[in-house]
Amino acid sequence: MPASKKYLLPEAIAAIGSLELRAQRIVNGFLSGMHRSPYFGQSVEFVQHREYVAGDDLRHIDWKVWGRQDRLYIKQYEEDTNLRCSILLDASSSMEYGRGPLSKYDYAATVAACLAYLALKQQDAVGLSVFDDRVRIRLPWRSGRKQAQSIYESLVQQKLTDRTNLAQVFKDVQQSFPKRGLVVLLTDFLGSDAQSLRGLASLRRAGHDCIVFHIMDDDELDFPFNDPTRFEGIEFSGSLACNPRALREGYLESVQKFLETTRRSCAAYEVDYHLVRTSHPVEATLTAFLAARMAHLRKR
Amino acid sequence: MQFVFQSLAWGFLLVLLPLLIHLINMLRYRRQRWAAMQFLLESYRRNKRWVWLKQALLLLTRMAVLAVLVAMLAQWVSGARLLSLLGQTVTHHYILLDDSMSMGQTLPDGTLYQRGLRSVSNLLDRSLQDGGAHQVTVIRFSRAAKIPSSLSTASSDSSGSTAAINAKSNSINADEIADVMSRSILGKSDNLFNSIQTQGTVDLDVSGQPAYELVQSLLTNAGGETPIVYLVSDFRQKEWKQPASIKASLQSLENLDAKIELVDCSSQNIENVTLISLEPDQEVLAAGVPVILRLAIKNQGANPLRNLTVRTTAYDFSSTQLNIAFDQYSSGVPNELPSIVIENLEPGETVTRGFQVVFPQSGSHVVSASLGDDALQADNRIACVLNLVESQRLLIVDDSANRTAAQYVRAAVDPGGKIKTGWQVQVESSAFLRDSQSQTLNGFASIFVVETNSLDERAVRNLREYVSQGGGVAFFPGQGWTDADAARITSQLSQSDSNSVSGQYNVKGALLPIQFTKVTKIESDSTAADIQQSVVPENHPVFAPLMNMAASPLQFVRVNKYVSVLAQSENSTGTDSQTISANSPIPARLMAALGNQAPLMLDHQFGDGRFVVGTSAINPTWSNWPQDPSFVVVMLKLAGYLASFRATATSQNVADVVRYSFSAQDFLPDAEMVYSVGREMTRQSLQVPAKPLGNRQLEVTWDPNRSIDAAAQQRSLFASTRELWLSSLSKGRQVTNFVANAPAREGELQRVEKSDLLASLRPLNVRYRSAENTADANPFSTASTQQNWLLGLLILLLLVEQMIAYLASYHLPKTKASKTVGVPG
Repeated sequence: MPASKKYLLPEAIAAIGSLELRAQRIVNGFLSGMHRSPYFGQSVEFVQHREYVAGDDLRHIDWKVWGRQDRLYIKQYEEDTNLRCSILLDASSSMEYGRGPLSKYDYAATVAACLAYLALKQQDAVGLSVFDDRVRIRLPWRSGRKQAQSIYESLVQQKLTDRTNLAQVFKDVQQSFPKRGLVVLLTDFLGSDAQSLRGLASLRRAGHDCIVFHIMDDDELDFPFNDPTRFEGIEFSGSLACNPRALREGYLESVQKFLETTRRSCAAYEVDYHLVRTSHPVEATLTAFLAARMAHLRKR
Repeated sequence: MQFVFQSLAWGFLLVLLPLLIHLINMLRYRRQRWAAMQFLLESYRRNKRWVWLKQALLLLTRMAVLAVLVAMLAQWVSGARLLSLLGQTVTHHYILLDDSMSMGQTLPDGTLYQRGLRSVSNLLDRSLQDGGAHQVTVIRFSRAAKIPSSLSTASSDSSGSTAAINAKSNSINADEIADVMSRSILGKSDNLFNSIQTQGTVDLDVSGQPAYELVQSLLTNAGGETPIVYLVSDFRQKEWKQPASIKASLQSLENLDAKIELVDCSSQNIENVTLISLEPDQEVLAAGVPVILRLAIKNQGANPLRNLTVRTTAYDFSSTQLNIAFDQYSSGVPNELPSIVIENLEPGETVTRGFQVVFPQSGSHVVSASLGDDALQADNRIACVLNLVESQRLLIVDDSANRTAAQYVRAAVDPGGKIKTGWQVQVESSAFLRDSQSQTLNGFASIFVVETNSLDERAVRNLREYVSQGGGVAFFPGQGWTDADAARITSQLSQSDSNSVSGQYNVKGALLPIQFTKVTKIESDSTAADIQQSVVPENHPVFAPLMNMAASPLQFVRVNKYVSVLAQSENSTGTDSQTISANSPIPARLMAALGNQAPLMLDHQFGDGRFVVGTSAINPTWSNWPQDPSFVVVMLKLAGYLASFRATATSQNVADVVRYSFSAQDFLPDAEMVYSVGREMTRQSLQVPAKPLGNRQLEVTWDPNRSIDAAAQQRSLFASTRELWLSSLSKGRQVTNFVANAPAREGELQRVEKSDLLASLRPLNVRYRSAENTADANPFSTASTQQNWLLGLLILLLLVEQMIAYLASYHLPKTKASKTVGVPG
């Protein structure tokens, strides 16, 4: 397997191949496809009439209505557009942790690769932003096989060095995402505070459909250490020599509180939040995620 | 602090183990890069003090658990004072068990010793029934009086060794001595005494004094307990008639708040006959020469005995084909000798009977005498070892040309022909004495100086050294002696310097106990000449065969010339020779005198040996004695007597260490010791490696007091024969015998009556119990057991440890879900 396909696990792709990735809301699109567009234009499905105002395209005037009622109305159609999917991937140094087969970054990158592949297969446009304290890599939205290749290579080449600064990242993203679309955030949120999560609210206000994959290692959730250990911070400086069993309970309480805060914030901002363990199979995670999204869409 | 197993107290070092593990763990922190550091630091900040406190408590608890565990294993006995603060005490039963030989007296239901154990066991069981906790310590007299080897070898007197033992006993660790040390009694106490009962009594005359002192030291260190001291003995008169020292010891125990109970195991006075001693006469011990053995028998009972028969047996070790006999008294070939019948033996009377034995070959042989069964079996057999040589060498010094005197002595001592006296005579001049090394002279069993006018200074020194080391010398004037010769010899033999040639002795004083003054002639024509010239023997072993006869064998002996003597004295004034007698203050014993009361022969002890002085020359011109048949008897007896002081002991005490040295060129260094392990005829052997002694000599040492079997604490303190089997490089196996006889004093079975005993111990508050009367409840029982308290404390500490460990999150949860952060579905 070439390095660029490292995160595109065949079993993961096979598991979600039969599913359709659909946006939850109407997004702006420039390609015809299966996604509903918030804009009215040339399409086969009529939606409504609107009284003509100066500046409207004369081609959209319904002349039959003018003949019967002598009033100018224009016809509005629902237009299907392609999805503009933005993947935001955390590449801070805390993402390098992982005692299992996949580090948090490996896991997040795999999920990102799978989603990108699926979207590109549906002729959707996919963009990628890799960040730590600021956006390091930015691939504009494109479709096609070349874009997929670019995404894969960007994922592989990324080095994990700096700390996370989500507030700055959200600010950058808001400025560069003029059109509404699907924003997928893959991060561990370590080093972020509640203020940082307000960036998600801004994205929501801009009309983006936001999905958060909160990637956590099993060790971080279970803290299974027993022997005396000197913990050396990856993203934080400093170290702590301790008996882990003595601190375990307090640690788990803190983590639980952190997860709860994050989940509540996402819920408040109507962000689709998913806490993911790195030990959980990627294909299962994606399958569960997409199935939930489909069910939610059908309800609407 | 004192423990039953003192050596286990080192286990308290284990208390440091948790601390050590903690420190090691601190050094062995594994490194872990960690992303979620913020939560960890938060937890640490929140729990820092509690974590430290819990860890410190956990560490201390674990250390305490180990300390209590070790205290339990080592059986802490001196903490009762601590428990007493809690209102609890332990009843500690100190059982002092007399296991001396007299406790082996047989009864219809066993021995006194077994009766005593049953009695104590019943007492303890009754105490248990009263409730409370009890500990018991059992100390046997013989173990308390653990005899140091250096003492036992030097001493032949049992009472003397006991005194020495007492002095040393305090330095001996109580844990090593006590058979049972501060053991808690939880059930019936029978099992406690099983091993002690199996081992039984020992054939020793041991005092209880070391045991009293040992308990005293234990009580001094103990505290908070209620001590009861049981003295289990047979209370014989020999020890308890005037128990001043015992009373003082018991008073010390009472001062330490100990209750004292006397458990009397003895029964009514019973009959017992003791074989007191069996020794050969002081004569030559040589192969083929009859040896006269003297057997002393004492009636220890209260009634006269009639026609008492004593069996005598000679065990011949001449054969080189002998094998070890493990089920017999001796491995030698037994030859029954004619029995000795004593027609009448009054109570308390001791009679001595002689009997003759001949061994045709040299070697180490055994002769034993035995009685039929009576109350005390151990003193019914006695034995002695006869180490016979082919012949013993006698040196005769004669400076005369014709050596007449030497010829007379030789004819008497070694006549030649078929007559075998066991002596091999060598005649030399006084120059031989001068020029010989001490080793050369030591090769002679005795020396006769029969004709010399002058002795070289070096010759005198050699003689002094020879005698001081156990040799025997007989000195007679020369035929041609004048007054000047007498003065010269007196001067030469009166040197009192202590410098020996080899520096091996340091005996001061003169070798010659008297001063020769002048040559005196008893005129035959005087009316009293017949009486004055006659010989009057004194009570001395040399003249013993000639005594108590209807017609004295010396009746025809006439001495017409002798040398007058004066006693040696420091101021040289001396006393008249006439005053010398058996009661004389000078260190000489009169052996025979003349009819005019002038000494004829004097016996002087010098160092370990004897110097016998004759005042008349062995010559017909001085007396007719050399031509008289009695001269032969006297010379043979004199030679044997003088040789006897260097002979090896024919028997030893039971506790004596066996030491035997031999040539490394003649024997292999591996020796096998055969000894008795019980009263029954059961013996076993032990390989004893020989150690180099220097000068191509090897030495074997075997200590019967040391545990032969460490597990059973089995010792070989029984009256028996002990055989040392050596492998000769040329003659196959050779046996050297040692005989350990029972102490005769232990045969005295007269007991002290209860009233006399209690009266002699007044005002001590002692309680007397007959061993058969143990029905009374024990009035001193109280309290609880120390070990149970420790066990409870241990359990409590373990629970606390678990709780702290749980609080310190040292226990992993049963399921992950219960403690880990859940992932929302």
